[in-house]
Amino acid sequence: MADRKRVTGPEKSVVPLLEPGSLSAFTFDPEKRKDGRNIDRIRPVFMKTGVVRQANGSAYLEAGKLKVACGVYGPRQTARSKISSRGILNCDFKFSPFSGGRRRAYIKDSQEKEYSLVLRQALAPAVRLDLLPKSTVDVFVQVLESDGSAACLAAAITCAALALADAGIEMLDAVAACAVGYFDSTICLDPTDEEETYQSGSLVLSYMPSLNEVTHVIQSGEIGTTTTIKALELCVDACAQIQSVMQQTLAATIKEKINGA
Amino acid sequence: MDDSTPASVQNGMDVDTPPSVTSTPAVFSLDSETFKKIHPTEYHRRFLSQGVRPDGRTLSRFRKAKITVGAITTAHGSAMARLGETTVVCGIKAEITEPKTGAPRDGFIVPNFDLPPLCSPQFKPGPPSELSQSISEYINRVLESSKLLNLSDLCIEEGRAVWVLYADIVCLNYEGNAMDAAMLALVAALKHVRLPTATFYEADNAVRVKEQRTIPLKLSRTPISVTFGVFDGQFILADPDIEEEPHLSSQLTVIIEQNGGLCGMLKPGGSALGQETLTSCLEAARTRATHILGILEGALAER
Amino acid sequence: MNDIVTPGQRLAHAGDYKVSSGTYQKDDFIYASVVGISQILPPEKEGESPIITVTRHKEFNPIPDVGSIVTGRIIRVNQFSATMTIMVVGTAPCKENFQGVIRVQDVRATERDKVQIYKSFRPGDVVRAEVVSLGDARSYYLSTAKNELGVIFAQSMAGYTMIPVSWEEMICPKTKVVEHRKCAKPES
Repeated sequence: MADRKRVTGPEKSVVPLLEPGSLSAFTFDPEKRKDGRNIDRIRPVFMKTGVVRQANGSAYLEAGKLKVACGVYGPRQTARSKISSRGILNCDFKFSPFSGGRRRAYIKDSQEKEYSLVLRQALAPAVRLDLLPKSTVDVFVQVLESDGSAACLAAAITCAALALADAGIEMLDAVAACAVGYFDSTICLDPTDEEETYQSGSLVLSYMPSLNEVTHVIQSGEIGTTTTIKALELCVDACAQIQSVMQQTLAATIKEKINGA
Repeated sequence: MDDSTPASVQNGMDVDTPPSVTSTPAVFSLDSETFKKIHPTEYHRRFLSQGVRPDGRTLSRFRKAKITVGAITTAHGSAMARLGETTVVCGIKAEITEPKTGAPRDGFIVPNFDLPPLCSPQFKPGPPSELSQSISEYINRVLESSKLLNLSDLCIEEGRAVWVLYADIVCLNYEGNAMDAAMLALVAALKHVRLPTATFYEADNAVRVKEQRTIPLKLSRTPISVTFGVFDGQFILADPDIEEEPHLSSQLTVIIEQNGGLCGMLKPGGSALGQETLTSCLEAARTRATHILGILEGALAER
Repeated sequence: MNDIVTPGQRLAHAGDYKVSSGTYQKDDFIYASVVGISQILPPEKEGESPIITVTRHKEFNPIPDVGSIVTGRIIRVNQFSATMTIMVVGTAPCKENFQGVIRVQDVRATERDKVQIYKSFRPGDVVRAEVVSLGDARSYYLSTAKNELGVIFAQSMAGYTMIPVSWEEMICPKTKVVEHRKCAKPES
C-alpha cells in the first residue's frame, strides 16, 4: 500500500539470505540456552521511569536485547463522541521500523492492532477508571528493539503498567507480565527471537502479584492442560520477581527527589 | 526558576497593557505559571527584553548535545541523539531490492522522520503530522542534493540487486528543534552502519550475505543542522525549545558541513530577516557545527 | 508511618483505618493505589478510625472537579452560553486544556433571566469561573455568579487592555470607550 505521506523507497525489498555454513547452526537445547540461562529464568530486566519528560508518566524497559519505551498521557478530556462516567483507557502499540529482522512499515499491521488490544485488556482491570469520569488515559508503547514477540508483548505490558504508576494514575496493583514458549513438553521462560522459531506454542500471562489475581492470559499452540498449569505457575513466580523490580524502580525515583530536594 | 529570571517574573506577574501604551496600575496579579499559560508571548517578551530566556540560557546559547551509537542491534547502524531534552533514535536497516532500469547501479536511501504520539501531547495517533512530513522531506532533499552517499557504492550486481537503506528516525521526547536532532542522529547512524559482504547468485536469482558486518559506508561529507528561531521579528534565539517554538515569528535552519561549507539553508516563510542577521547566524552555526562534530567523533570512537 | 509505597502494596488491616485518596480496600486489607508517601491522619470525627492516605510525590495532571476555580479564555459566544477553554485549574496550569461552558443562567447571581451573554463575555476574554458540574460530553458546566468570578482580562475594540469600572463595565484607557463585561472583583 503506497504511503503517500512519507518518503517511499522501492516497491519491494527483501532481507538477504545468509551464506550457507557462515552461521554456527543454531539448534535449540533447553539445557544449554544461547545466553546461558536455565529454562526457568527470565532475562535480567532493567527499568527506568520518567524518560519522556513531555508525558505525564513514562517508563523504559530493557531485557537482554529487548528495548521498550512507554509514555502515558492523561487524564485528559475525552473526545466529544464518547461520554462515560468511567474513564477510558486507550492503548497503542507500535514496533519501530528498525526493531525487528524485517523493516516494519509505519502503518499498523494486524499484529500491532492485536497487541494494542491485549495491552488494554491486560491493564484495564488494574486501573481505577471509576475515579476519572469524562477523562481518557492514553498509553503509547514504542518498541525500539524486539527479541521474541511474546516476550515483547509481556515487556510492553510491564512497561505500560510502570508508566501508569509513574503518571500517578490510581491502580489496584502494578501489573507484571511474562511469556513462556513450549517446546513439546518442555517449558521455557522468556524465549528469545531465535528460540521462538523452534517453539510449538506460547503463553503470555499478565498478573497482579499483590492481589494474586490474573488480568489476562493468551495462549497459542496445541498444549495439554498439565503443561499449561505448570507454565502458569512458572509465570506467576516470574511476575512476582518482575514486580519487585518495578517497585524498586518506582521507590527509587521518589528517594532521589527527596534526597535531591 | 533560577537566578537569571527577571525579578518581575519571579514575584508574580502583573497583567499589564502592551508595552506600546503607558503603564497603568495593575488590577489583577497572576502567579508566573498562570501568566505563562494565559499570555505566553508577553511572558517570553519580558525575558528576552532582559537578554535571557525562561530556561536560563542567553539568546545565543545552544542546548547540550549528546550522541550514543549502536544501541539497536537489529539495525545495521543506529544512533541516539539528544539536544537538551529532545531525544531521537535513528535505526538504519539494509535490505535488497532491484535497481531502477534507468539507473542500474544505483542503490537507495530512504529517510523518514516520525513524531509518534509518545513524544508529545500535541501529536495524536494517525497519519504523520505536518511537522514530521516537512522534516522528512527536507532531510531527503539534503541527502540527495549534497550527494552524501555515492549510490553506486550500494550496488551488488548491476541491474539485478542493490542495497536499499531505510533510515528511520523516531522521536522519543519532543522538546523543540527536532530538525537538528534528527539530522544528527541520521549522520551518526550512517557513520555507524556496517554492511556484510553480499554476493549475487545467478542460479536462484538471490543475494546471500556473510554473517559478519564489516563494510562501512563512504560519506562524502558530514552535514550538521543548526536551527535558529526569530521572536517578534527582532530577537534571534539559538536552538528554540518547546516553549518558544509556537511563538516564533520565523525560523532559520542552516546545514553546515565539516569544512565550514554551506550544504543547505531553510527559512520557511515568516518575518523577514536582514542580511547582517543571516551572516551572524551563519557564523554562529559554523562554531556550533565544529563543536557538534567533535562530540560526534567522540561518540563514534567509543563504539 | 511515612514510608514510600507503590501501587498494590499492603498498608494495613481494613478495620483499623479509613481509606482516603491514594488507598483502597479489598477484602480485609487496605492497599496503596499510587506511588507516594503513606501518611496517617487523625480521624475526621470523634470515634471514627484514623485516616490512611498516600500522597503522590509527582504533580498530577489537574482535572477540574466540582467546586474548583478555573481560569481560561472564552472561545465562542452565542445567545445562550459562552464556551471557554480551561487552561488553569486552581493555580496549576493544565498540560492539556479542557473545555467548559458558562450558561446564561450561571453568569451572575441577580436578575439571572435578564442576562445578555454578549454584554457579559466576548471571545478572547480571560475569565475566572467555578465548576458547578461535570456537564455533558463536550464541556464542564461553569459559573461566574460570584463577586470574585468573571472577566479578569479583556481587550477593548481598539486593542488595549481594559480596566474594570464596576461589576458590569470596563473602560479602555486610550479611547475612553466603555464596554460591558461581567467583571471579577479585583483583590483590594
